[in-house]
Amino acid sequence: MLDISVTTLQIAKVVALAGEIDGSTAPQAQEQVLALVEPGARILLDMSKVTYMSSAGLRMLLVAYRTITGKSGRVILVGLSDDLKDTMSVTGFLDFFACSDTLDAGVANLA
Amino acid sequence: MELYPIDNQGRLFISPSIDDWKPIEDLGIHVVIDLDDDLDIGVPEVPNQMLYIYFPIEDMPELPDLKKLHSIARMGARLVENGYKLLAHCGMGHNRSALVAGLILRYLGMSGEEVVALIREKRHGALYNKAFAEYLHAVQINPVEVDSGAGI
Repeated sequence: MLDISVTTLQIAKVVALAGEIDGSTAPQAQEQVLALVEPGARILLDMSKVTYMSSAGLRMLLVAYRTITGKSGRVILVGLSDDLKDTMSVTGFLDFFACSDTLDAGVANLA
Repeated sequence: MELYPIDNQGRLFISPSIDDWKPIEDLGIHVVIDLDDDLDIGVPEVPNQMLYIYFPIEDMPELPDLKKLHSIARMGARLVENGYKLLAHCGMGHNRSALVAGLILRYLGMSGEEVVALIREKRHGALYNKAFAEYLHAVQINPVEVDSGAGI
């Protein structure tokens, strides 16, 4: 189960994900994120309520990253738990992404 | 797509999704275990060549159906023992493929500790699914006996 909401915070689109990102929910999240991608898009992915992320979630993040940066946009992951940070660290995914602890810090990083 | 050799004999591989069959054919891999949620496109259809096993499972803290999982792993171990090259693949080549490759190695006689360490050494980031890693480490296995198939 994954709840997805999209809001705007100053210069950024915020995609808040809450629940598990797995093989059954990642396609929906990917669709919602990619729908926001326009040239120069600035996107915050609020991961603070993500309780589990499978490899399907990692793949979704990779597709989002490539699509957003491919259009000269920027994406920041917000509020990663220690578990998610570990997962992204051991798989090398943290090398791709900028991270912030809070949405306000994320907006500041995007400015 | 990158293929990650796991054993030192070059008989067991893991990988992310298959987007090109040529590297697989070039390596002489004739057994593929597909653990991802979509059937692979372009599975070779040459008669009497490819053995393709489709067992889509989730990369979740819960383990998949253990009877099916172990049946596949035992078969994989026997195929590897008989000289076939085997690829287990999932979406990213981190967890599901590592679980199956790890069980095959367990059936080939390696300890759980050795298996988890080896897979993590060969594939950076593999087995971050702690439930899979702990299962490979702890499960009690009776190694398979080699069946040369000579009597068939």
